[in-house]
Amino acid sequence: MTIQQIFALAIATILSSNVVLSKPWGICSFLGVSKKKSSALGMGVAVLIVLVLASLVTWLIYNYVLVPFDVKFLDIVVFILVIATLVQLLEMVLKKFFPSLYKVLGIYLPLITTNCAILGVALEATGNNYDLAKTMIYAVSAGLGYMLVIFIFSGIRERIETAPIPKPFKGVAIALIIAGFMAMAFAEGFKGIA
Amino acid sequence: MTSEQIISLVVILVVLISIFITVFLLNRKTPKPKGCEKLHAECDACKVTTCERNILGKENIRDE
Repeated sequence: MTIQQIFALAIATILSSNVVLSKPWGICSFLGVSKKKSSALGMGVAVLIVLVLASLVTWLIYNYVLVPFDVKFLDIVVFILVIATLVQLLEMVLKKFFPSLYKVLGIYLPLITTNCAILGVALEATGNNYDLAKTMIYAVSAGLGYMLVIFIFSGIRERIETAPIPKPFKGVAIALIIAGFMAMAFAEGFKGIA
Repeated sequence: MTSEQIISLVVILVVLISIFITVFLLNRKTPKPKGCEKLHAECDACKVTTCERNILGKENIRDE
C-alpha cells in the first residue's frame, strides 16, 4: 500500500465518504449527543477509541477464528458481542485506573454499545478483505470523521438554539435539515479530493 | 451446514457470551470513582421516554 493510497483512503473516509453523512451510520448518537460542543467532543473521542479497538479485535477474530472454521456468516452476531464486551471492559479499566478520564468519557461509553458506526466499520473492513494496516487506517479515519462532523454539528446547533426558528422546525426537525445540508456539503464539496 | 461448522458455531458463541457475562458482572462490581456516581449522558434523539438516558421523559415528569 503506497502513501498516496493511505492518504486517499483516510481523506475519503474523513470527508467525502464520512460514516455519519454518507452511509449514514451512528445517526442516533449524532443527533442525541450534539447539543453542546463539550459533550459532542467527548462522544467523538470515545467513539474514536472504541472504533479503533473494536476494528482491531474484530479483524483478528474474523481472520483467525471465523474464516478458518468456515463460519463467516456469524460475523454480525460475533461482532456485536465483541463490541459490547469491549465497551464493558473499557469502562471497567477507565473506572479502575483512569478515574479522571472516566469522568470525561465514561458517560458516553454505554451509548457506543449500540452505535452502528462501530459495527458498520468492522463489517465493511472485513467485507472488503482489508488487511490489518488498511483496517486500522480506515478505523482511525472513520473515528476522526465522526468526531469532526459531530463537533461541527454541535457548534451549529448551539448557535441555532438562540436563532428565531419557526416552532414546527425547532429541535430535531431543524437538526435533521442541518444534517442534510452537511451531508450534501461533505459529499459534493469534497468529491474531487479523494 | 456440516457438523464441524455447527460445533464451531456453538463453541464460538458460548465462549463469547461467557466472556461478555463475566466482563459485564466485573464491570458492575467495579465501583465508580468519587464524583462520578450520578454521571449519565443526556440524549434526546428519540421518543423512547422509558430509556434512562432520554431527557424528554424526565421533562414530561417535571411538567406533570
